[in-house]
Amino acid sequence: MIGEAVMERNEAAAESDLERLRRRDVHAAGAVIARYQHRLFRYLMKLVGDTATAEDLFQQTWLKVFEKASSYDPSRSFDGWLFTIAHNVVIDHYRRRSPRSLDQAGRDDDAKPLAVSPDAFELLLERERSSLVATTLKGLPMAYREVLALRFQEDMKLEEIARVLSIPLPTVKSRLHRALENLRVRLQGRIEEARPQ
Amino acid sequence: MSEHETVSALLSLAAAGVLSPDEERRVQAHVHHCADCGRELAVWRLVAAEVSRAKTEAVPDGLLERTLQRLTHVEGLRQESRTGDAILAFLMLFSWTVGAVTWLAFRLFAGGPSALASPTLRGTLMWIAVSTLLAWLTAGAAAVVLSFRARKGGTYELT
Repeated sequence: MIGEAVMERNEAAAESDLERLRRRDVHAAGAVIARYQHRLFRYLMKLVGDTATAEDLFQQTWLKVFEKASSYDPSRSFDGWLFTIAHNVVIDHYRRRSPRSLDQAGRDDDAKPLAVSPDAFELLLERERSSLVATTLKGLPMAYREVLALRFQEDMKLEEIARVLSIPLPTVKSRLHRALENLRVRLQGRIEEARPQ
Repeated sequence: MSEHETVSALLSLAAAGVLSPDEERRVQAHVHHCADCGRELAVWRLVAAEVSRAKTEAVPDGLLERTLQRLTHVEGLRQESRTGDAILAFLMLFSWTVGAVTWLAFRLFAGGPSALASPTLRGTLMWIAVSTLLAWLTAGAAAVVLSFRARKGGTYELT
């Protein structure tokens, strides 16, 4: 009961901060940034993999949020709106750096059929899983890292992911499927490398 | 495509928890009697669980403060730019008004009230020339003042 009351109060405070943010109140922006900083930074780190770049994109995202705050529709989820802006900031960043788009990055690396038994796979994951998975994730094309981050770290539904990425639902589904296949193939490659001759 | 192949293609998404209720039922019914797909699904669930748990770097110290600092700075520049635009618009309007009043006063003093009712071509051209000159001079002066202010305050970051 106390927990519910606290949650309600937090939700009310969050709504009030968003309303003040829409009126371009910098103090409200501080409260909103504090609330979302961990999720947003984690998402950006998954995409760019470099702390300095992630921090710059993090700041650029909030500048854009502040700039567009008056056009935010409160009936929509703020999370989705925020991640859509962050996604566009990352795309702009990569377009400035190279002409390859996120979609191209996702298409040029299709998964190959599996060749390693599930048991060996499980054994390796047990042994060195956290560093292994983190490193393997970093090696995936950005479009795959992004869809995996939105689904597994941000716990978004397919519909929300489709809105953030501005792509159709079936494309999200197939991209998520390819991302998981790709990750598994790469993890299996590491198992092969680690297997004693 | 056989039922086995169809369900195999759904296993990764089943582990990701994104199947529709119908697809989910179909997968569950199949893995109930297909040991291969059951094992495959277990592996996909392991992969999905590892992705969820994959460690990420913590937020750098002072990130919130640095972001707010940049936001305040950019917002200040934006505010200054808006003020500058308003000043420029006001000065332009002011100079046109001064031009119009000067012309009316000139006509009034030179030819009396009757001259106001019958403007000559020369007088009109003179007014256009004088008011345009005044407007350009004012805009030029305002631009110089604003560029000095912008140089003092740094560049506008969100272009």
